[in-house]
Amino acid sequence: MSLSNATDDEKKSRFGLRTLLDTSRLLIESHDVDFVLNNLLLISMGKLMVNRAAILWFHPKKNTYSVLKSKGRHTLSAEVTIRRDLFKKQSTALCAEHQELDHVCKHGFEMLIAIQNSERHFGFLALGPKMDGTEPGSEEIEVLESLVFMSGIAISNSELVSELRATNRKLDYKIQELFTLFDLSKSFNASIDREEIKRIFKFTLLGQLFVRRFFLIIQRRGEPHLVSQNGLGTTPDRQQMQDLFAVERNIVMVDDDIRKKHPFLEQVQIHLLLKLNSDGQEPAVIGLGKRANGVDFEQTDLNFLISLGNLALMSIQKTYLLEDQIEKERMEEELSIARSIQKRLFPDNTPEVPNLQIAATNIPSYQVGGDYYDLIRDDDQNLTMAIADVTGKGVPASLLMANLQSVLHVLQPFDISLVDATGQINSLIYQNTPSDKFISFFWARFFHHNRTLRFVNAGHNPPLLFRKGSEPRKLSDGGILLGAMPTLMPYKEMVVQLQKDDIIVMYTDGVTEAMNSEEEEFDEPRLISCVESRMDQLPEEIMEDIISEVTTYCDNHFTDDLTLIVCKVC
Amino acid sequence: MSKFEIRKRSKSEVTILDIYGELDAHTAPILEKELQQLIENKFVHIVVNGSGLEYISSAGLGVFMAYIEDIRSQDGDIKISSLKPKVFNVFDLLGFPTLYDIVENEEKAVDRFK
Repeated sequence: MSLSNATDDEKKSRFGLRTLLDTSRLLIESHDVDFVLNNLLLISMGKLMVNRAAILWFHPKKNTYSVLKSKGRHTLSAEVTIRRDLFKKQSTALCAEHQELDHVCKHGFEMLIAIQNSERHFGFLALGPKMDGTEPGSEEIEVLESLVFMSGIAISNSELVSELRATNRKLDYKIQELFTLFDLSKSFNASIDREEIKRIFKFTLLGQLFVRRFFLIIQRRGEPHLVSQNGLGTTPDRQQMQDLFAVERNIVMVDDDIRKKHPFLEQVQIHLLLKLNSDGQEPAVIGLGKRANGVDFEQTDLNFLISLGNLALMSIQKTYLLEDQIEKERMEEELSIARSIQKRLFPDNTPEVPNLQIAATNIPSYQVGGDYYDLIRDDDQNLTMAIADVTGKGVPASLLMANLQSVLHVLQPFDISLVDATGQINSLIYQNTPSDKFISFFWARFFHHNRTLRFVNAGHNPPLLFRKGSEPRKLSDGGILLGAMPTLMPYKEMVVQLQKDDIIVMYTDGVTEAMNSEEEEFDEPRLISCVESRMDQLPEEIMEDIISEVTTYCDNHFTDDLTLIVCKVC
Repeated sequence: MSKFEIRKRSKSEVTILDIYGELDAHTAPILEKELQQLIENKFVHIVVNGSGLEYISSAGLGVFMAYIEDIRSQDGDIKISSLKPKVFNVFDLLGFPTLYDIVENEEKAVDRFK
């Protein structure tokens, strides 16, 4: 049956059905409240031929209605209340039949249709009079009610959909954040380059959180360091940075109170402070400006920021630790090189000379030390023996010791007296060292043909000369420490006539100042009695015994280098 | 390609809107926007030439209802011309001819403003 054969009424009702069908399709597909309402207005206006229509939207909190959307001319602008009980039995009310609706109808409307589903009331569709002046027929109202009912369903659907969309978006955002953190931890872990870490940190703040203005201050060895910043325009000074670590909470919104305490925060427009304390590590403070998109920081953003900050902080601290480690290893390597150089400065073996048996050793307590001894035999088979102790320990002491060693060896080939040589060495050491560095120095030359010993003692623990039947003699004459002052007076040289079986013990304070658990020193008397009871032994044996007695005495806790030369006339 | 299109012309004091395609709930806002603009700029002598209009739904008809009062209050009107029989049937069915000048061709529609 075609349209042209049908009666007008049939055509009309068919068009009505067509409208309902089209509308239901539209509404099912649409998830846009605005579109649904616009469509409801237009369809009902077209369908009923009314030239004004409005959606009165319900505000549950105030229990009032206001015009959310309208077409055509009407005068309703204020919020109104509408008695819902009028719509209990049917969803349509005609103004002509209900005086209670006059306050709405007088603005140009003829009927109200409630927009609702089983769970919720959304509001009303208000329609003006039909333009042809007729009353709306019951069939027309029926179609309208169906339209309104479908729209109600579509509205709750679309609200549900937008809720789901919002939830989905939040979830997506969360996932994105997690991915970002995951990516970051990977990049941070992979990087030992601090610049790279700072760059990642910066671009994450910019890209994920739209924060253009920020700073990251890390404390390192108690000092604040501005590790990274962007858009501040100025750099806070040390005190300003240090003060930030006094903030009490981990998350601080910068308010007037905080601004008063830290005025520069206002100057650089920082609005949020995050204090990070990772376990046992030094803390850091992140300052953040407002976000470029104008959105406030939410709790989830703060969580993200703290995670990001901790990741960056740990990574940066890792790079510091790594540097420290490298530095330490480098220094240890250098020290061991220094030690091996120093070892070579000591005599390789004990030279053999007529009429004298010699034993000597050096036991360093540090990797490199400041003790020194030397045994140099000249072309005439005479022997120069030297023992010295440089103040201080470690590399500086060993440098000075090396200096002394080289001077001694340079002077050795020249026929120069101990007195002149000592004077020259003193001048040189004095010129080359800071005023708080000295060397206690003893040296002696043994002439084998007449068994005489010439010596100069420049402030060193006096070596001991043991002779059977007499008290040990201290070889203390000479002059002051090397390097303390220029050579104003010549050093004094002494000559000793030695006898067969005389024993000379030269030592550094590592021997006599070794301490037991009561902090008592080993001291000279113990050394003397140790030697006196072994006058018949070989120098090597005497030396070993002294070392073992000292070692036992201090329970192997040497705090200083220990150097010994023992020789016996024969 | 859009389902619906409007082209605008002027003939003496009259604005002529040639409309093409299908005017339904989806495309109605295009015509709404056009009419709003004309009203704002006081071009209220409007002829809608429907020779290219293939289909109109209730929502499409609603657009004509929604702005007619504004236009007539400014001594203007919307005249509708050149509708295809199928489309005219819909207008006719709902009684639009009693409220609007719906004429066979554009010329007649323009003449109605004189």
